[in-house]
Amino acid sequence: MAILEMRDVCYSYKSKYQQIEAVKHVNCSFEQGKVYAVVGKSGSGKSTLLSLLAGLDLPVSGDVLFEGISTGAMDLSKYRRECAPMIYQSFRLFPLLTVSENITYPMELRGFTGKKARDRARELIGRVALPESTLDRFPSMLSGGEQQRVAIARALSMDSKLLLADEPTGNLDEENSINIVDILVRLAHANDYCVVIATHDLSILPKVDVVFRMNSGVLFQEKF
Amino acid sequence: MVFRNSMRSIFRSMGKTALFTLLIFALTLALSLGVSVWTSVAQFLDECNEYFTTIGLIEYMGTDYPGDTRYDPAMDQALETLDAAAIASDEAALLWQETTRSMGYIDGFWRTDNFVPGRGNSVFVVGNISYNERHDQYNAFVIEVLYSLQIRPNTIILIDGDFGAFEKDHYYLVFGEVYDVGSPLLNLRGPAFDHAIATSLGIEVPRIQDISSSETDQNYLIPGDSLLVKAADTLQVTNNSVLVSETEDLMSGLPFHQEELWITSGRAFTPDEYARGDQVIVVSELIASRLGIGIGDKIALSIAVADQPGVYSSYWVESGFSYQSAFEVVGITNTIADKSWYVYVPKSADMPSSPFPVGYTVGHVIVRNDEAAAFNARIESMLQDRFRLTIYDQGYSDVAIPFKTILRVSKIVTGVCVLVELAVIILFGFLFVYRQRETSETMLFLGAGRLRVTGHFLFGAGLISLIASSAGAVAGYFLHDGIIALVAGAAERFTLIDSRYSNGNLSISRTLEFAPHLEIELFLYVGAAIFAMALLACMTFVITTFPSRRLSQRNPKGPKKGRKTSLLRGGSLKYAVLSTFRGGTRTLVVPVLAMVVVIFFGQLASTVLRYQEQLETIYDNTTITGSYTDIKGKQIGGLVLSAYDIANLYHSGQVSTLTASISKPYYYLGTSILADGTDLNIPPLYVPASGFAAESLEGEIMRGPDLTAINDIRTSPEFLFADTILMDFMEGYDESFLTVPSGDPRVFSCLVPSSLMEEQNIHFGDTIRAAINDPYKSQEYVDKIHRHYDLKVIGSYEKQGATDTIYVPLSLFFDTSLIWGAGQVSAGAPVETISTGYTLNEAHKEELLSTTFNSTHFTLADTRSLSVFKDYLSTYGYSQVHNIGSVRAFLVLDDASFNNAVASVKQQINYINTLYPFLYLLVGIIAIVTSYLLVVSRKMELAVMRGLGTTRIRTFLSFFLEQSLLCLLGTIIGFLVWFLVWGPPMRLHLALTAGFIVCYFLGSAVSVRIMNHANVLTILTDKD
Repeated sequence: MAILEMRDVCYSYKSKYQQIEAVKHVNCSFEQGKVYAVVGKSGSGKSTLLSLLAGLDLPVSGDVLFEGISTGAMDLSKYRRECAPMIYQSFRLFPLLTVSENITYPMELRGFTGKKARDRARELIGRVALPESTLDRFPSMLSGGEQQRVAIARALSMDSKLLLADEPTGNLDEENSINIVDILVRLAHANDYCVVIATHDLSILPKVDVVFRMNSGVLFQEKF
Repeated sequence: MVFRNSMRSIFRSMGKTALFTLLIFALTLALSLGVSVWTSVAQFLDECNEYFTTIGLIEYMGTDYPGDTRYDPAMDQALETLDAAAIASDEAALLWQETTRSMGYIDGFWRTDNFVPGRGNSVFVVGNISYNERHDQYNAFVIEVLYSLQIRPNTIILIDGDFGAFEKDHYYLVFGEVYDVGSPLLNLRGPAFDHAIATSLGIEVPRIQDISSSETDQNYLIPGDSLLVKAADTLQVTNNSVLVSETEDLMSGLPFHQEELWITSGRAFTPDEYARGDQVIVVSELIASRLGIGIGDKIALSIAVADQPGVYSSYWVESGFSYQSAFEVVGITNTIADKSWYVYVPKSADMPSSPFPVGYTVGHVIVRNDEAAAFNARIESMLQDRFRLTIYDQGYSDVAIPFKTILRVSKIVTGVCVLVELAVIILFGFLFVYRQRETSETMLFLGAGRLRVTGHFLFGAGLISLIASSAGAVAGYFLHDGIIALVAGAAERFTLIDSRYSNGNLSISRTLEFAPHLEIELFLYVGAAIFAMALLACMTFVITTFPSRRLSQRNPKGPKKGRKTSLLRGGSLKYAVLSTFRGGTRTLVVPVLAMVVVIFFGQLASTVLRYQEQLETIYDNTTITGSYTDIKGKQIGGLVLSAYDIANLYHSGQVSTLTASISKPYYYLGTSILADGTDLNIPPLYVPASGFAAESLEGEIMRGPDLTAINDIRTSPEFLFADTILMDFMEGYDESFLTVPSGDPRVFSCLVPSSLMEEQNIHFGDTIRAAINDPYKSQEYVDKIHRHYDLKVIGSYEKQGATDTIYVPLSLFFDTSLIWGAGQVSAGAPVETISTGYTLNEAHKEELLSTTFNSTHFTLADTRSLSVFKDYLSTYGYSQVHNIGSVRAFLVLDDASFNNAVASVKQQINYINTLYPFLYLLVGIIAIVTSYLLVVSRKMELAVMRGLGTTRIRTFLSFFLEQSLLCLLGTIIGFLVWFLVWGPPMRLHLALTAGFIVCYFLGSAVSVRIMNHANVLTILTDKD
């Protein structure tokens, strides 16, 4: 069963100079245990599509359904907090919080605090193959690859089976890119996550299960 | 292409373009108006400096003050203590001119004015003399007049019986004083011919000389060597003399400065004439007409200087003149009665001048207009007893001081405008050029060349700044007149000194209208300057985009050192606290700002308080006194003041003490009762039976010294300007006896000059008898006598002048209950006197209206209500010097120093009241802008939070609490520092800081709210 589904989703926004129709009548669905890649040229609407899946905004028309419920009917904050973790090309970590605090932040939003949260952070940092000593460090003290792993750990801390990644390897070198993609693939295949990656890095395509191509806001499925 | 693309950039960022066009326009407008006001006011103040002349007049307040030609030996002596060099070298003094006068003579000029010395002195020949035994006088026929202003030949004159022994059918040359008792015939009495030079030469001029001679047809012969002829020749010169005044700047002399005198034809002296000491002269119209001369004519001026004091004692016919020369008339002045015989010449070393002071004016100094108050304070403090400095500024301070305040404010406002303009221009360059550096890099990458890149940016930015600055400048030009009208209105509000009735306002007030006209060029210069600055800023930013930027790994922001993970429980507060303590330099911005603001506001508040305290101290420590004066504000005695007006003044509720005097000339009759009680039975002063004798006696009494009834000797004209009075009292008495109310037996006590006691062998406790000119039919003496008073001598004093004034309680001549009630006539608020039962009923009014005082002095009850008091005086109709009211009584308040002190403090308070609201506003804006910038700089963090599903309330609290904590932390530290260094904060300080906190909180709240509602999607999907 699809954990996430888009039904005739359209989205447009007004940029500085013009009205942009970023997503046009998109229909697609995402299942647990699979890695999805959304590829396309810059400006094709990949990130917007992922953001709609992440509940950063609502579509202009159509529906984004999480486990069959439209995000329009949900509290979007709660949806983002509990259902749709997302990692970004620029990691988006809190610079003034330690790695541990970054990871526990989403848990605290859900009411998990203190030792329980810290233990969970320790566990998650291990899952992204970082040493425990990383927990007390600040993001600015880590390399790009390490920061992205922390971002993944933070996403995992939300205990959702969905993981959205917007250009997760965009700022990383080849080795780190491979490692990050491997982590994401492993999460999908070993831990039954539904991983959706927006990327223009075609080298990862062999590792993913489904490939969507985005072209001028229109989504096509390429690989099944 | 470059320009087309540049234009496209502008049009594609319309919001930003419009905003900055508007900002530059507004700031150019503000700056051009600021500069124009600054320029206009500065020009006006320069005009004021040219137009107004301030002088400081130094006078000696002698007993005969303000006699303009008097010689006062006390002044001569006191001048030794005057440091004229210090006055001349004062930093505010431009030119010190010591009064230099001497007696001059112009052949052909004659005087008939009332100021001729010894106006009645005459020398003439009489014959056909007969004695009238009944009237004890001689009837004589005037045959020939050698000198007299009044006697004509072939008239009959009545000569006093005690004049001398005239023999029948003899002819005499006589010297005497002619006087008029109202009868058809003139009288002659015989004072001795008193002339200092003659006396010093041992010459005693007889009153009569028998000149009968049978050898002539006239039966008399006037001997050529007769002393009386010499006396006549001397009188001919002295009584027709002119007063020669040497000057280094004619127009700064008091009569010219105060526009009593002005040049009606010709001119004043030129700088060259002053420098060379040319023989040029300015005379009055009277002199010119009597001599029949005009501009360009020459007159022979003789000057007499002698080793004897007194201007009229400078010439004795045998001594002759000290100097004679021809002077060219270059100017003619109007004629005023008391200066019709004055002539003015440039000061010259060749010209002799009297070594003795003539008149009470020591000299005058031309003072820098804007330093007159400081000069006054400095010089007054060094002047000795009885010397007085009076500033005459022609109304400069009234006109200029408000504009000085405006000038200072306009300078500050313009300065602030410049700073804001610079900030906006830098921001303009930053946004329009530096933020577009990628365009520059791309253009360079494409080989456009630096010149094209520069052209691309400067064309667009320059066009915006050119349009905005030009429009601002032109708008400034058209709004200038309106602003000037506002400034003129503001100047009236900035008037600090209420100079009505002030001794600092004895000067005439000239007016100078503030109506500046500025050409458009000034505004265009301002616009051009702003345009140039904008281009410069853009150019600078263009250059910064040129250097090749090496590819480098951008260092992520954030702490670089390890730190223990916080154990704080989660929530907004945790994030706020962690951000606060880990924010590094950014965290410091707010507390430091808050600390600076707390200390800044503390300083502002304490400045306000300090000036208010200074003002209070001045109010508390100053006593303002006032006196009734003559029309020129100089004479304080010998006035005619309605007791009704004085009573109203005292009961106006505005004065705390009031002293008044009534002076009546007395005739000393001698000691009537000795201290031991022995009655010496001296007769009263009978009114002579004959009308002539009665009139003569009246005249004699009226020429006598004064019996002055006063309730405070220290405010008498004789002693008002003296620092000390040497007095001696018999046991049990002091000067308070002067304040006894009507009906008190001590009313008949007196204070007499010690010299009189010595001369008349008077002792303490003796009762002396003094008669005044008030004849009445006495039942006791069964005859008509002059009213006399038997006064017990209870004290003596060292007199200041020549006259033997006897001081008695005011209640001797005046029913003091009419004003003071039943109590003592000393100090005490009117309220107290009212409580004694004083009510002004109609009967009192009649009595008060029929009574006059000769001097009145008072003390203001409350310095804070000085203006209220002046309102009262004005409403009542009292006259001011140079401003005559409906009541012909002139009042002068001794408040110049007080006004200057208050004005200097009020000026600061005015600056504060004008500028501080701007500063408060500026701090408020800084608080809001700072909080906004700090929150906006955290946009990504907030978006990440929102992306992670944090609720808006939580994100709001996280950031708002952080900003609040930082602000409060800085505020607390600021107050701590303030407390440790300056003590407890004031209420205003707390209120202002609270205002800052509110602004900061408000700015933070609004900023976070704005950020909270920004599109998270857009922020988070931004790849950089």
